[in-house]
Amino acid sequence: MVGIYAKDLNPREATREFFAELFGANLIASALLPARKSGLNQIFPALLSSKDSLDETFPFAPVMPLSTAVQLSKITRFANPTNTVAVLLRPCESRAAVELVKLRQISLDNVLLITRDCPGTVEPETFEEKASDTLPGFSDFTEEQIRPVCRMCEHPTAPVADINIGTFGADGGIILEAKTDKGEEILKHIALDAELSDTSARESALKSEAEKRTAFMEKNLAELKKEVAGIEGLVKFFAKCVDCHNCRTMCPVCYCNECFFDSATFHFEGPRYEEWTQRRGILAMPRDEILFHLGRMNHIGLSCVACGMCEQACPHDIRVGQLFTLISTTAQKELDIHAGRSLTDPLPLATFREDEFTEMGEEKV
Amino acid sequence: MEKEFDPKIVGFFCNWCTAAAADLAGTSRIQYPANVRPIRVMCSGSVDASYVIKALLEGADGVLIGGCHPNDCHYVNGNYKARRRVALLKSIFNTLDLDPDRVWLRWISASEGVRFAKVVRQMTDEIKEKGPNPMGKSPQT
Amino acid sequence: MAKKVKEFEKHVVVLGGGAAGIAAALALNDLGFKVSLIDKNSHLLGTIGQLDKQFPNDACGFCQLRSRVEPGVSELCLRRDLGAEGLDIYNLSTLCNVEKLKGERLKLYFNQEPAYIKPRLCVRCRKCEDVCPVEVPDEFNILGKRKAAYTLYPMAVPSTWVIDGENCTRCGECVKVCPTDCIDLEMQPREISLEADAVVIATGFSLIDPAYLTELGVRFPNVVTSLELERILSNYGPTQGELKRPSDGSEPKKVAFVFCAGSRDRVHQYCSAACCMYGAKEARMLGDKYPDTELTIFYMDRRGYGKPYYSYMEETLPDVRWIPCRPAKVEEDQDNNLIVHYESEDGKFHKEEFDLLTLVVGQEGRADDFAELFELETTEGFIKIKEGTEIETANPRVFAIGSAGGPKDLPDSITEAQAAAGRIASLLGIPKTRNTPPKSVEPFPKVGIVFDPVGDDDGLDKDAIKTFFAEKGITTAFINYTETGKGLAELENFIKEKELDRLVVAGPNPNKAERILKERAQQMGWHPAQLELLDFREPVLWGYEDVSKFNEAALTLALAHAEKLRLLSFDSAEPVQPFGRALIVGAGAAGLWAARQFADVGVSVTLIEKTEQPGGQASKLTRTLEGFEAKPFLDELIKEVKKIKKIELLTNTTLDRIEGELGKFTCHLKRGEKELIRGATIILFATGAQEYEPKKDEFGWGLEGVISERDFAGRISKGETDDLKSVVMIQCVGSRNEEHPYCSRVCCRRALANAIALKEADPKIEVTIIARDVMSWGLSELYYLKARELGVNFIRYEKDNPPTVSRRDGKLVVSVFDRLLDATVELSAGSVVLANGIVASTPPILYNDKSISFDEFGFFAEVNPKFRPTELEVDGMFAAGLAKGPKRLTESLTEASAAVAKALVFLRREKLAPKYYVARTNTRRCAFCGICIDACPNSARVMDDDLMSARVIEAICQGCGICASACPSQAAHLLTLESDQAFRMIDVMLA
Repeated sequence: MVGIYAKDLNPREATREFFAELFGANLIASALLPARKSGLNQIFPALLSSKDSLDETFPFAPVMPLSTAVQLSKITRFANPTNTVAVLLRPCESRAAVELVKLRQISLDNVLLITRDCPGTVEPETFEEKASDTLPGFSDFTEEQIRPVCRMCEHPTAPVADINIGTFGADGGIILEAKTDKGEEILKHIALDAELSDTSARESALKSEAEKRTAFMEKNLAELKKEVAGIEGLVKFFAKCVDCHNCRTMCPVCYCNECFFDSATFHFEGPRYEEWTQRRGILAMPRDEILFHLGRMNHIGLSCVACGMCEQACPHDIRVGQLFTLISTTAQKELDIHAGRSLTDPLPLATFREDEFTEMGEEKV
Repeated sequence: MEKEFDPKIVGFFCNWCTAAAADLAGTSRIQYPANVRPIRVMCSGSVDASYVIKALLEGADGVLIGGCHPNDCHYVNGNYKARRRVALLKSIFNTLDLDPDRVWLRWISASEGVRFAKVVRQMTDEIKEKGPNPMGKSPQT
Repeated sequence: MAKKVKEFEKHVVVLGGGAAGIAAALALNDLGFKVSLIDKNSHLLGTIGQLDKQFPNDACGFCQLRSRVEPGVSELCLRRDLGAEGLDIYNLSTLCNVEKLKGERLKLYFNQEPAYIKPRLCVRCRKCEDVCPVEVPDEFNILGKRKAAYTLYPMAVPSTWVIDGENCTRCGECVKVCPTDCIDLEMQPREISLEADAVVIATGFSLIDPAYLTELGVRFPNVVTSLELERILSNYGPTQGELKRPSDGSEPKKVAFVFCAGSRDRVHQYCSAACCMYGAKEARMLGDKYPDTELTIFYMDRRGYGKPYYSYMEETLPDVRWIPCRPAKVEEDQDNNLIVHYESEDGKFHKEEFDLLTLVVGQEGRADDFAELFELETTEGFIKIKEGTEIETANPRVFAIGSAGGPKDLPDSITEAQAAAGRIASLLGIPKTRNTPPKSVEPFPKVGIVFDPVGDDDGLDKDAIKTFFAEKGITTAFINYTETGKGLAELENFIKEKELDRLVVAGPNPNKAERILKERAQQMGWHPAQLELLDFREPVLWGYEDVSKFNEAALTLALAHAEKLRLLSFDSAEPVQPFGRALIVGAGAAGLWAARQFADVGVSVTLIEKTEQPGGQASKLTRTLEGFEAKPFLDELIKEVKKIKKIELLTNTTLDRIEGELGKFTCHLKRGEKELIRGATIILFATGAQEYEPKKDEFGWGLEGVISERDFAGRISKGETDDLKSVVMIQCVGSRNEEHPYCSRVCCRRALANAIALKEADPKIEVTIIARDVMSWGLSELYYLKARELGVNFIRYEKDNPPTVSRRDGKLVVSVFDRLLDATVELSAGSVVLANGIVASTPPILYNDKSISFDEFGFFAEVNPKFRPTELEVDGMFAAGLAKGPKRLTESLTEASAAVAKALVFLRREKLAPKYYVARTNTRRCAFCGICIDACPNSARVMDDDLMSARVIEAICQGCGICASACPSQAAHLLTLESDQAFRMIDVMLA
C-alpha cells in the first residue's frame, strides 16, 4: 500500500504526526528516532516511550553522528524488547541493519522497521555551525556542504523496510509505503489522505536523484582512484593515519567484539622490531597500518553500505569512507553481491556459488 | 653488475593436493624454479586474506594459493570458498592498482606434478617480467 | 570368553595389496594386530592405483581408510605410504606353500623375487632409470613404455625403485650411476616363512583379457578397454589427461561403451558386478571433461544396485544414449573409425559409426592356486564362501574378501575388508592399547632442527647452516634416515641430549615418516604437535632446478617451521576416560550379530529394541537364493545373545536423545514411561528399515491374489503354492522411481529364488518375471541363467511404461508392453507377486539438540560411501544393516562386523586423547554472528545460546580451518595453524 499522509504538513511534522498515531493506536510501545540532544545543537538517536516527547525529535535533520543500526543492535542483540519498538532509519542505516540481521547482531522480532528517504547529511560540525534555537534543515546547506559519501550514495531510498517514509516526489506531507505484511497491517490503522495510485512522480524524482549522485560518484571516484593508485598512492592517502581504528569502531558492519587487527596476533616480541628494522633500514610506526586497512576492506568490503561513518570518525579527515565506497561498490558489482539488499541473502564470505568465477584456478599452463 | 631479479613467491598449498603435487614433481624429478616458499595448509579455504596481504606487504613478489579442483575438495567445498575470497581480494587490488596478478589461485591435484612445475615456472617467469613488488619496499608497510 | 592379548602379538597375513588387502591390513593394524601384507607385484595398490577417481562419489578418498585416533598424526595420502608400526609389507612375493600348525595356526611359505635394489639404501634419485636402456610395455599406464629399472608410478608403494629381472639385460649401467651402491644384479630370490594366526585372502581379480572378443573389434587401435580409457583420462596418464584416439591422436567426438565385454557370455557366465558402475563413471568423467562428445552405452542390464547407484547411473548421466543390446559386429573403415552393427530390441538392424569404442571389461577369478594351498573350493576361479557369510571360508582361520570371493565393486570390498578385521578380532581377541595421552603444550620452548636430506651429496653447506641457527639459539643436527630404526634412535638421543621440547625434522616426506616420527615423539611424552615435519627432500632437494638455492631454502623454511613451533602452545583438553560400553540401537540381525561380536572380545553392550522381540526384518526371511536358511540362524543367534552376560538386551525400548561425545555418549532411553540412561563409548545404529507398502491399486495392490514377494516366499516354504498354475512377478515396486530413487538390491534375487523354487517343485508352472533390469550381479547371475534354463520367462519394461494389473472374470490379468514383440501382451496369473522395495524407517535422532544426518533417501549417511562405509559424521557413531540402505541379510551381517572392527579401535583404548586437528572458538572474541556455522562444511559448529558463542563439536570437526578464515575476528581459530604462527612463517620466509 502506498499513500499520502498529512498532506498539509512538512515532512518533519508529518512524520511526528505519524509516530504520534502509531503511539496513539498502541501499535508501538517505544520508538527510536533522531532527537535533539538535551537542548544542545546536536542530534542523536533517542528512545521514546510515548508521543509526548515527539516535539524533541527531528526525523529529517540532515546529520548522522552515528549509524542507528549499531544502536538497534544494542537494543536487540541479546534479547528483544517485549513490546514493539519502531525504529526510524536512513537508507544506509537500514542497509547496515540488514547486514547486521544476517550476521545475527540485530533481531527484528518486535521491531517495526521504518525507513525514510534521504537527500544527504552534513558533518556534525557543519550542522552545529548553522544551528540555533531552530535546527537547520537539508535546504539550509549548500551542495558542497553535503558529505561526499552522501552525494555519491546510490540509495536515496531504502531497499528493506516495513514502512518507508517517502519525500522524493511528495508534494506536501509524506508518502507512506508498506513494504512487508507487517507494514501493511500497520498502515491499515493509519488514516492516509489518499492512496497513491500513480507513483510515477516519485519514481522519476528518485531516478533523477540517483542519476545525479551516480554522475557525481563516477567523477569523484575516478579522481580518487587516480589519487590512491598503487602502493605509493595508498601510503600517501593514509599518510596521516594514526592507527587509532576509530574508523572500524564507528563502522556499523564491523561488528566484531575485538578486531583481529587489535588482537594478540599483532603483539610482537621486541626482537621482531629489531629484525624488521634491520631488514628495511627504517620502519615506520605503528606497524601494519596498511595491512589493517587492506585487511578490513577484505573483511567488510562485501558488507560495506558506504555510509561514511568511518570517514566522519577519522581524527585526521582521511577520506576513508570514500575509499571504502570505491572498493566496495566495485567489488559488490563484480561479485554480484549487494550489501543491504535483502534479509535472505547468504553471508558472502561463508558461502559460494558453484557457477561463479568458473575460469579461476583452472588456467591452462 | 646488477644481480638478476629473483622473485620470492609465498605458496599456500593444500595438504591434500598441491602439497602432494609438489612432492610428486620432486619424486618424478620434474624440476621447477626455486622461487616458491611453501606453507602447507589443510585446505585452500583456510587461507585468510590477511595472510596474502601480509606476505605481499612483507616483500613477497607473488602469492600462489594451490587447491583442489572443483568437486575434489577433501572438505567438500573449501576450494569454492577460497575462490570467492580470492576474487574479492583481486577486485580490491585491481581497484587500488595494486597488481592483482601477483596473487594466483590454481587448482593442482595430487597427481598433477607436471602442472605444479609448470605453474611455478610460469608464475616465476611472469613475476620476473613484472619486477619486484613495490608493496614490500615502503617503510610504511 | 575374552582373551588377553598383547599389542602386535597376534599375527595376521594379508595376501594381496590391492584396495581390499590394504583396507584389511590397516583395519587390523588399527586393532593392534601385527600384519604382514603380501603382494606379488613390485608395488602395491592393484587396480585401484590406476583409477584416479572411483564411484559413487567420483573422488579418491583413500586417505580415509585409517581410523583417526591419535591426535597428532596428520592426515595424509594413504595411496602414497602406509608406514606404521606392526605393518610389514612384502612385495614381489608369491605364496608357495601352507602348513598347518598346532591349534589351527598356519605357516605360510613365500618366494620373494629379487628387486635387485636394496630398499633401505635406495634414495629414489632415479638415476638408474635414467640410464637404463631397456624399454618394455608399461603395465601401469598400459599404452606407454617403462624402463627395466623403474617404479610403477611416482606415488607407488613401496616408494623405492626396483629392477625387473625378467627384462633386465644385466648391462650394469645402473650399477655405475647409483650413488649409494644399492643395486645388486646378483641378488637371489629369497624364501620367507610366516606363522599366522589368521589369513586374509585379498588376491582380487585379473582383468578379463578381451582378446577372444574378435567380433567386438579388439584388434582395432581405436577399440580400447575401460582400464585403458581410465589411463587416457588420467592427469598422469600417457596423454596427460587428454582424450586422444590411439590411432591418430585426434579427439574423438563420438564414443561408445560396450558393457559386459567378457562378462555374462559363453566364457564368463557370471556378472562382474562393478563394470556397469565404473563404465558409467568413465562416461561421466568423459562427458564432464568433453561436454560436446556424443556418448552411447550398449548394455544388457543397468546393474546399478544398491543405495546411490541408481541415481548415479540413470539420473546424473542425462546425455548418454542407452541401447539395451550387445553389438553383433564391429568393423573398421580406412580412417580407423569403427562401424558397429547391432540389433535393437524391436528386432531392427543398425549400422553406426563411432570414433572410439570402449570395452568395459570385467573381473576374472584367479584364486584357484591359493584355494588349493588352503584346501578350499572355488567357483569360476573365486573362492567358495561359507554359506550365510560374505567373507568366511571352510577354514575358520582363513577369510576371503573382495574379488577373491566373487566379482565385487570397491565399496563392498572395503566393507568386507573391515568386516574381516572384526571377525578376526572375535577369533583372536584384541589387545588393550598402551597409548599415552598427550598433554597440553607449554609455551617458551627449546627448539631444535634435524636435517635429514639423505646422503652427503646434497648441496647443503652444513657449517653455514649450523652457524646460522646457532646464532638464533636453535640447535641443529644432521641425521640420515630418521624414519628408520637407526636414524630414529639418533634423533631421540639428540632430543634428550639437548633437552629439546620442540623439533623440526627437515627432510623425509610426511607421507612416509610423519606417523613413525610422531609416534616416537609421543612415546617420549611429547604431544605429537611438538614435532613438525618439513617436507624438504622431494619439493626442494629434488624439485628445485637450482642447486645453489638449497641452502637458502634450508635456512628460511626450517627457520619458519622452528618459529611456528616456538609459538605453539595450547591447552589440551583432558583425555576422555571412555565409558567402555557399546550401545546398539536395534536388535535385528545386524544389531544382534554386532552385540555378539563385541561380547566375544569382552566389551559390554546395551542392545535396545523398540519392539517386544529381537529379530527385526530377518525374522520374516526364509531361504536365500544361495539356499541359506535364515530362520534357524537367527533363532540360534537370539538364543546366544540372550545368554551372554555382557549383553544387556532391552526390548520395548527406544532411544530418546544422545548427548556427549565419543567415549562419553550419554544415551537417554525410554522404556514405556520409564527413562533409562546408559553411558557408551560408541553407538551403533542398526535400526533396520521397512518393506515398501504399495499404494492401493499400484500394480494391482489390494486385489485378491496380489501378494508381496516376501509373503510369497513364505507361502512357498509352507507349500501353499502347489496348486498354482501361473505366476507373474513384477519388479521395482517402490524402487528406482521418483519417490524412491534407488534400487532395493534384494528383490530381483528374491524373485529368482522364488521362481526357481516354483519351477523345481513343478516344472509345468508358468512363471514370468517382469523387470526393468534384472539385478543379479556377481555370481548370482548363475541363478538368473538357471531360472532361464528352467523356463522362467523374462519381460523387460521401462519406467515410463509399467505393467498394469487387473482382475477380470475371476482371474488376475497383467498387461505389459513387450518390446521384443512391439505389442502389449496380456498374461493371466494365479498369483501376481510384487517386489516391494525397502524404505527407510528410522525416526530422527537427536544428538546435542541436532538431528543426526540421513541421506536423501532417509537412511543413515555414511561419511564416505567407499572407504568409511559404516562410520557416521559424528566420531564414534556407526550404522550397519538396512538402516544404512537396502541390503541382503549376509551383507547386513558383514557390515555389522565392519562396524564392530571400526568401533573396537576406540573401545580398546583406556583413554581417548582429545583431537589436535580441530578448530576451536575463542568465546570472548566470538560475536555470535554465525559466519563459521555457514562456512563449516561438516556442520561441526553450533551456536551455543548459553555461552553466547559458537562452539565446535570436536567429534565432527575435521580441522580444515575454513571457519577460521571466514571469521573476521579469528574467534574461530585452527589449532594446527594459528594466525600468529602463519604471520611469523610468512615473516621468516621473506626475511
